[in-house]
Amino acid sequence: MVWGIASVGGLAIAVGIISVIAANWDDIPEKLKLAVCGALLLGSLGGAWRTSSLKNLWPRDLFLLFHCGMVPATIGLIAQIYHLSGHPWRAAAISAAFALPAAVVAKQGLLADVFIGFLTLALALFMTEYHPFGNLWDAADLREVFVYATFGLVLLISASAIRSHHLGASAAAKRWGIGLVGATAVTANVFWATAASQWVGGQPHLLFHWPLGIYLAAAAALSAQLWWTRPPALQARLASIALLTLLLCGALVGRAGEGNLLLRQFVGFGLFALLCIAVAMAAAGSGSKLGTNLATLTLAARVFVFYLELAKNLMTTGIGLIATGLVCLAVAYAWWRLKRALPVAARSTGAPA
Amino acid sequence: MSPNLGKRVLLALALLDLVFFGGWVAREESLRRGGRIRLPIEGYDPRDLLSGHYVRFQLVAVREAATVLDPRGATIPQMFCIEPKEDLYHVRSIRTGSASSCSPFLRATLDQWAHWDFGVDRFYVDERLANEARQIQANPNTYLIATVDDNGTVHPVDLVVNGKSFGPKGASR
Repeated sequence: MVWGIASVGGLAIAVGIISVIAANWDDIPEKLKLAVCGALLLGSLGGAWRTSSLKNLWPRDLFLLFHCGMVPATIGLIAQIYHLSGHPWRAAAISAAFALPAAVVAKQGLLADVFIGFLTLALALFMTEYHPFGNLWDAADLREVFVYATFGLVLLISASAIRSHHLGASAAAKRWGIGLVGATAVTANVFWATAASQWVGGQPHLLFHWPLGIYLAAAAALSAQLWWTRPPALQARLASIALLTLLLCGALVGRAGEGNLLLRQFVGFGLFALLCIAVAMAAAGSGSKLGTNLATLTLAARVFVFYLELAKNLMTTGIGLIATGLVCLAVAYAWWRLKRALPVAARSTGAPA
Repeated sequence: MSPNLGKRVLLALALLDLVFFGGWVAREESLRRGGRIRLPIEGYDPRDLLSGHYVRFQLVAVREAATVLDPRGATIPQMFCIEPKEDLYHVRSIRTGSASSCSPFLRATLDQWAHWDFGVDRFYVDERLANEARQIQANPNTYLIATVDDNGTVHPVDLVVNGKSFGPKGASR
């Protein structure tokens, strides 16, 4: 109770000081702003230095986290004082470069999350600024999807490579890798379910196919690494990579006419569902209950969306879902009758794969 | 990682901070000490984004450069010679020879909409002034005061709207 009140009081004072500074921001001399910013930047490292001898390394990592936040703040301040324009991806890339040593030193994976976050932001801003193919969520064609998927696969390869050196950073790379690959799978599925890609493989120059090339290279490298290290649920993992490749590459195939759109929707849904099942099996085999639950939840959401795609209205969607639910219950009942027991859920603990 | 190695990394990071940010500030300061020119602007509008209050503008040079050389299909970067006309600098021609063939000159690349891009399109101002700028129309007394380095890159020093300086005190001098 006392700590709670003290926390609220401390937070109120901090926010109040920030508000007072913000209100008088334009009256503060620029040199003073730069000096205070520099002092905070170096002071955070001084704090990290002082606390690096402690047994509990959380304070040091918090100072490093503050330093990671001060780097983009300093870039922004310099840009504001000297009226610098454009190229925000450079600010994100520099922030990533400064966050890397902190991520290496830190014990917690949180600093690695910050580093990868800056890196992903730099990639997204770069893609948006130079508009090579559009944006992932405003996908004009599929090439940017391949670029993001490649980045995700590279993170997954890195996660395995650094696991013995830095478990926290490895877990962070795995989180971001799975997240990016998952996002690209969803985007590719949208291409399957609607119209075909504007990039249909008809570009005159081979160089236009480089996003596909780097994706295939990264997928092959990850498969080779899995084959070499032999992690649990190897077959399910390899199947996941193969299904993701099919899902992404299949979305490239020709512009759908009205006639074959239904077929495309069915095939796209089937590939996505199989991918979810493979990922759920891989996660279950690795002992990750969270991964299993997320994959099955994604599959359930996709089934619901598939009904909406096909049925076009809530009535037929509802009837279809009730029918599907009854079939699932019947399968569960039959299972129970045969085995006299419900299947055991995935193990709740275990080392991350 | 051993504590000693961790401390060395922290020391290296502190040195990197000092060299990078200190060098950046020193460079920006020195770039603004050269001779100043006045570049007319147009099409500005005040913005209030995360980065603070700033006036968004476009150099008249963008339009003038497009009449001198169509940006579509042009090679980049391009150098444009500028010359003073009634105290304001306007684009005269493309620089064809060495740097001494025309001075000063502006360096331009292309933006994502295939317009000439001189690398400056914003000026951070006081919140109250940004709101004031919303009401003002472009006119001959509205221009950017800047320095131009040896590469033709523009470095803003002050923004004058309707004869009124928007920069920090003494910036125009």
